[in-house]
Amino acid sequence: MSFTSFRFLCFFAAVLAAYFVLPRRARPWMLLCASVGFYAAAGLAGLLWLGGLSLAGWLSARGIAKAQAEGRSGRRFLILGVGLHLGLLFLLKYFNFFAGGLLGESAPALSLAVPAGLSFFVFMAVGYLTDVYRGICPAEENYGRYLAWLCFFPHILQGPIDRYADTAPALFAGSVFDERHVLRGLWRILWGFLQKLVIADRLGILVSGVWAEPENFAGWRVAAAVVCYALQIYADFAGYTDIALGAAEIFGVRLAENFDTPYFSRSVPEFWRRWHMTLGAWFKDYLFFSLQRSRSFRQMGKKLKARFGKTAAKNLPAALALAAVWLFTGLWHGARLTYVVWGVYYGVLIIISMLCEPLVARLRPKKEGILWNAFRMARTFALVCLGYVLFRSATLAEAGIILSRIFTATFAAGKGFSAAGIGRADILILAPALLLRLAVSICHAKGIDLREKVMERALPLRWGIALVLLFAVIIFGIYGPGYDAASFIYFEF
Amino acid sequence: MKKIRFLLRIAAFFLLFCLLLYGADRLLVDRTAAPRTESFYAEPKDSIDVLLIGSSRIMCGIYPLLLWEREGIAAFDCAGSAQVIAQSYFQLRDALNYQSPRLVIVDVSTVANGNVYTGTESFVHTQLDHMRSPLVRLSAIFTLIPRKDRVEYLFPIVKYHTRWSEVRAEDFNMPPDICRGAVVYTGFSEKEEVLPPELIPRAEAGELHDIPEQYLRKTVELCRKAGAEVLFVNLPCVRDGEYQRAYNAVDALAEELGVPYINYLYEDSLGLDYEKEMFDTAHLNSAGAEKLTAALGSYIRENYDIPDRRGDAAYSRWDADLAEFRQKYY
Repeated sequence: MSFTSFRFLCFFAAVLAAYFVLPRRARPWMLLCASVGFYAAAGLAGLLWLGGLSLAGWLSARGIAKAQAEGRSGRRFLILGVGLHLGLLFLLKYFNFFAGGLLGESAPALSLAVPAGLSFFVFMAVGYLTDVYRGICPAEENYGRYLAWLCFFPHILQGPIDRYADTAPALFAGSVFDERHVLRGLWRILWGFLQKLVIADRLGILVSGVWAEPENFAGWRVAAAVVCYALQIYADFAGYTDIALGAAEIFGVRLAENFDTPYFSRSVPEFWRRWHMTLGAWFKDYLFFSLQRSRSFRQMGKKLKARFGKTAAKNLPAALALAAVWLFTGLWHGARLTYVVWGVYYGVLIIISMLCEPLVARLRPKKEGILWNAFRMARTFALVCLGYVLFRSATLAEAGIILSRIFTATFAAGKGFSAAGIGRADILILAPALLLRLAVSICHAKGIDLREKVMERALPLRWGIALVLLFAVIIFGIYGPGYDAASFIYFEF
Repeated sequence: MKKIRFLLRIAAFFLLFCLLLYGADRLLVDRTAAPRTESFYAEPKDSIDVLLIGSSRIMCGIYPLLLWEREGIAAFDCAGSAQVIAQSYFQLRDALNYQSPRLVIVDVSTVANGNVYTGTESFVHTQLDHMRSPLVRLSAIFTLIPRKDRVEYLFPIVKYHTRWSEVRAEDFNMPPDICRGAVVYTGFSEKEEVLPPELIPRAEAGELHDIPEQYLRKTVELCRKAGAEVLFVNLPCVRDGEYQRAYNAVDALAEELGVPYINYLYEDSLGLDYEKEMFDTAHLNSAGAEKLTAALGSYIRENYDIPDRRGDAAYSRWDADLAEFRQKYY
């Protein structure tokens, strides 16, 4: 059930009404039922996988807690639980990719459907098990409560990748009705809809048009399409996240933020601290630090220190851990070679950035002016866009064609954007919508809470703004079956 | 108390939103067929004595203004493109909220179609998006439209919102339709050559599909409840044996229900020249329609007690519209 479907709106309205009508104690269980229903709508097979995995995760966590209570580490249960989760993720999502890569066409192929949101809830569960093992959060005693957290409908399909310790307490408390929470949540949902349906999906027309037939376009138009993709993917994912966070906020649950105006970043590492933040934080906490703290990495550091000195001992293990993080970050996005290369691309950039940091620090002007920062932002954005060429392309060859159309074709060659299915009316919608998106980002960067500002205004102005945004979504959004004037012309009986 | 005040504010906002949504919906909906459909609702209440329901064959085959000219009958073509029997039933239910006809003429030409609605989605929209009785409209949507498609019929803006850049002031100032639901085609379609149909014996009948049969029964029941007599008609067309067997299957049902049925395929007295008086294989042109309207008018006059409204001051507009109609099309 897509967040931007009419079905979801009806579902959400019904859940909301039922939630606040029921007594407070029953509310978390009501959310559990709603979330299970929501997930079941994506397919019953997925529900079975979710049920099985969540039970395995819950039992593993109980095993860790019991072992630790008895003075043991509980490591075996951690390995078992994490192994089960990652093993299933590998089997369902990556087996065919690796088997095909290793054995070619003779490789056996699994035809199991990947449950919706598998990568997200597997990562949440692995994070939970690790946190229990590390003593960051207690093992949940009640399976129903664990399942209610794991499959909480705002985050199960596309994140954010939440931490049990951060969100479960509020979820189980069963929030009391709070007008402010409800309104803040609704404003955020509305903003999410606007980003997704008005900006992302409209930009998507142009991007898909150019990617479908890149040979029709050339020069700046292809470069513009890549920039449009950067804006599309941001509006799409941030829009989805805003709907998820807004929905959760209404129930008194604050999910983790996923974006912090990422395109204002001045370096690639900073971009990754501000883009899909929960994924980055997950890899940092559960892979990067785990590797860095592992016995083999510590021994490697000691050997390097003795042989090559402090700098090598500090940088080489970190570079290796980063390489692993970025390889897996690429793979996490999907079983496709372009994702792997995209991950490697970021790994290389970030490792170079880390190694060159002392040199860059010396070259950096003492006073960072607007122009210098603008240059750094533009440079970072350009590097991110280059990465998007790989990310958006299905094959490396396709990515190569897109790049070659940008850099080798003459400016005058190729067709206009109308050939990509975008016209003047689309530009008339996109220009103000993107300006609004930029203004909101600037306010966010300056620490201005726009929702709070709007909610402080007089009722007619608040309602006016809400109605303008609502009708912008309804009229200018991309949804529905579409309209073809010719089919209405009265002739073809 | 605070919670109630909040809920009241939400309800007020929702109401305002719904009003604006309705306005936006009406602004954006396709208005190609609006003059025709709106002309029906513009007729004074209970002024129409004969209602014709069915598909485009009715619209192209029977001209109410010519019925008026010859017999003084106040009739209206309440038909729609490719409209199947089930759709016509709901069209009639809507129409009966505005008119109390003495006779309802039901076109059975789509009886071979076993579905509840035509496969052409825009025609279903044309019918349902302009329907005035909210309850009938809802009932039609929930009965005829598959669940997955209902949203766009419940809220037509879901389909039409992309029209925002095409809306023009002229859309709302279109000249009123004077034809009383008829659509006039002069000449011939270039797409098809029309030859007289090879008729099978009338006794050769097929099985009626469940859905058209069920809705024909419901239509008759509805008419009788409303105090209107019913007449089934099948208009001239060039169709193969399978279709003809379906048309012939209506004979038994009509007899069972006690409803007269004129299958014009077998009415030699009509004297239709298929090559010259058909627009295409399914629709009459203006010459054929004039001939058929005359025959139907005579039949109605002979068999039903329908008043001759000519000379009635309340119907003076019909004469003016007839003059304009004649001038425009003949």
